[in-house]
Amino acid sequence: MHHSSNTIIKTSFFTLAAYCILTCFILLLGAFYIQPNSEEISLCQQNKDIGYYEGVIHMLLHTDGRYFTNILHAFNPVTFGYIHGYKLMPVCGIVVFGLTLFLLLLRFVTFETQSHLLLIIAVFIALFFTLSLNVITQFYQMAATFVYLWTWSFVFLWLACYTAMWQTERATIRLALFFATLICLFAALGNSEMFLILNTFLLLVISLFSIFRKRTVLQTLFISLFGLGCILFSVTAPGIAMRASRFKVEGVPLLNIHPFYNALADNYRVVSDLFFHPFTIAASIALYPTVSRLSFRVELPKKILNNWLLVITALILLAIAYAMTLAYYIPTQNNSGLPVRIFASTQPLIQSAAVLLYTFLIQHLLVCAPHFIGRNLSLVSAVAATMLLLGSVTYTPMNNLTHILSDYRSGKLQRFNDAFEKRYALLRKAAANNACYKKAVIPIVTEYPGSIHTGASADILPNRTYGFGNDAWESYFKVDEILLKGDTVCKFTILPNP
Amino acid sequence: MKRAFIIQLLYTAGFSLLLMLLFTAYQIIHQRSEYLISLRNYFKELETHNETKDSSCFTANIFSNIERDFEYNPELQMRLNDFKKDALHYPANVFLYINKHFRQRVARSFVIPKMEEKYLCVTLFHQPSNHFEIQLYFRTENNQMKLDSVSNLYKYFSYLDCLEQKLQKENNKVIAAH
Repeated sequence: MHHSSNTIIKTSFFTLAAYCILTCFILLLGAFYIQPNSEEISLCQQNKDIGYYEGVIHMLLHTDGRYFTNILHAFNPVTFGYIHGYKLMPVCGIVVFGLTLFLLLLRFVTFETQSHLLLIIAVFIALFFTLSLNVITQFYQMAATFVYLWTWSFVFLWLACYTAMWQTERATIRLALFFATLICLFAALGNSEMFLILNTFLLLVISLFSIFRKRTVLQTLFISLFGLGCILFSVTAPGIAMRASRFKVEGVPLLNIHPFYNALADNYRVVSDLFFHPFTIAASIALYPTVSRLSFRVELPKKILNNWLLVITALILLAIAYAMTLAYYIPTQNNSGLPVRIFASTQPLIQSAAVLLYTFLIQHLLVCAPHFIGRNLSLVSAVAATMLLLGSVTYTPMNNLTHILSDYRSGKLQRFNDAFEKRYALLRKAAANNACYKKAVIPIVTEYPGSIHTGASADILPNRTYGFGNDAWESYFKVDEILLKGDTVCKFTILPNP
Repeated sequence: MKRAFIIQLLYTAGFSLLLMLLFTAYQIIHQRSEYLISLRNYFKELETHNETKDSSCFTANIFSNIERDFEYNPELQMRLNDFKKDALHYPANVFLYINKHFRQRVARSFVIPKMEEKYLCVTLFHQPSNHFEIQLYFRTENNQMKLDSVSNLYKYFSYLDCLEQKLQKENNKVIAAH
């Protein structure tokens, strides 16, 4: 009996690993066909034209207070002229995200259970991208991932450095980790206004914890003060006022009850969708044997796993997720549909809350009916893992993987990629021309695959309609004028867009 | 004891240094923001001085400031005169473009503004295929901003020549097709 139970657990383990590998494969298949949009080209080109330093300052003056995102715009393969390097960015994003989360959680679990931790993180990430409300901004669109995905990595990293600093007894290592924490905190606070709320909460928690435990008080004080400085730097940047003024709705007072209510309603919708999604339930059940095998090297998580603190932690995570979305709802006074990209940012918190609550539920079921459930738990877990694996490529509603596969099977991804490769060839040819005024006529891209691209509005529009479109691509490829086939308006019939 | 003191000192020094860097960055950005506001006001004033708010007034004001730069160069003076004649629209009049950007959202091809000696310098990066920069130098006189000089305007003239050639070529094509 014991032998067969072990075999089932192993099967479950390998089925979950297969699910993660399959998810990764499908996501990377999509990444192979992605292409930059006009805004991204414009953001990267700016740094090539006016210099990295001036580029970052320009953005802080006119666009936003996201100083570290602007630094990332200046240092990526596209800025360095390697446009195909754009396809590598999702790979970097997922690796860094997984690695930093692993580094953080590694501070809490013992060495013996590291392989279990690795599986939990892999399933968590696979589930995250399978159910992501906006996988394009979360994974494929480089400039957006700097805001919505990479910020998480910096948050994990500064917390990992801080925890390591707390745990070490060696003074010089503690000093080095102190500076590493400051640098990572600087990065985490300069990416998105939404994360200012999360980081403020975390800084408050570490400050209270440090004072309460009387450990690393000076370092924590410095870290919190520096964090406060970064927050002030970000929110007082002139660009943030410009951004807010673009969103501002005339005649509506800033402190209005509606954004709070709208945010609550949308949060409720997203949380219930994610909580009751079959994949979340299946993953939580499938992971339970692995989660229960984790052994911790700190005392607090042990207590958390064994009582109602688990539920309280989950509720705190949901409350933070709600507070984070307010950073969007209050300035925009949003009441027009669900802003999915905002919720893609809070999804790790919602997902963590779901896993904690399901773990708590399973534990209580085990207490209520220990014999029946306990005997069959490994079998249930293996079935859940198999459902997850099979469902990832077959279950359609709210599943990014099936969307990518469908676009691939219909040839949309390939045609989209080919259209862009053709565009590059034409633009390079025009740039190599000896004429003093270089002009290129390029075909219109007819199909934009919804699984990896936001669509035609993010590309060059006919007749230089709006936006970064033509100007950005012209600057990047050193061509004076780009016309789409059929354009009747040329560059100097209208004044360029600001 | 001594080692512990040195480490404490390093904590304090490192933290202070980082905080100072942050504050310096803050100062630089806010200083630039102030320059930008005064430039905006200047461009606004140029337009409102004219009752009809015609763009030619705006250009006339600009040219009165930069004419002396070309005083000793007859060829450039001639070009400037030509430039003034049909300078009611962009691209013939680059200043309209600059004005639009200062009044609205600033394009990503601008570096604005920084102090060079006593002048406020605005740089515009132009023509993608043959990159060149136009620099506008402003100075403050009696609390009022004035455009002092423009560098590389002659490069802009050759850019216009090139545009003219291109338009001519396209016109010829249309004539030939008919």
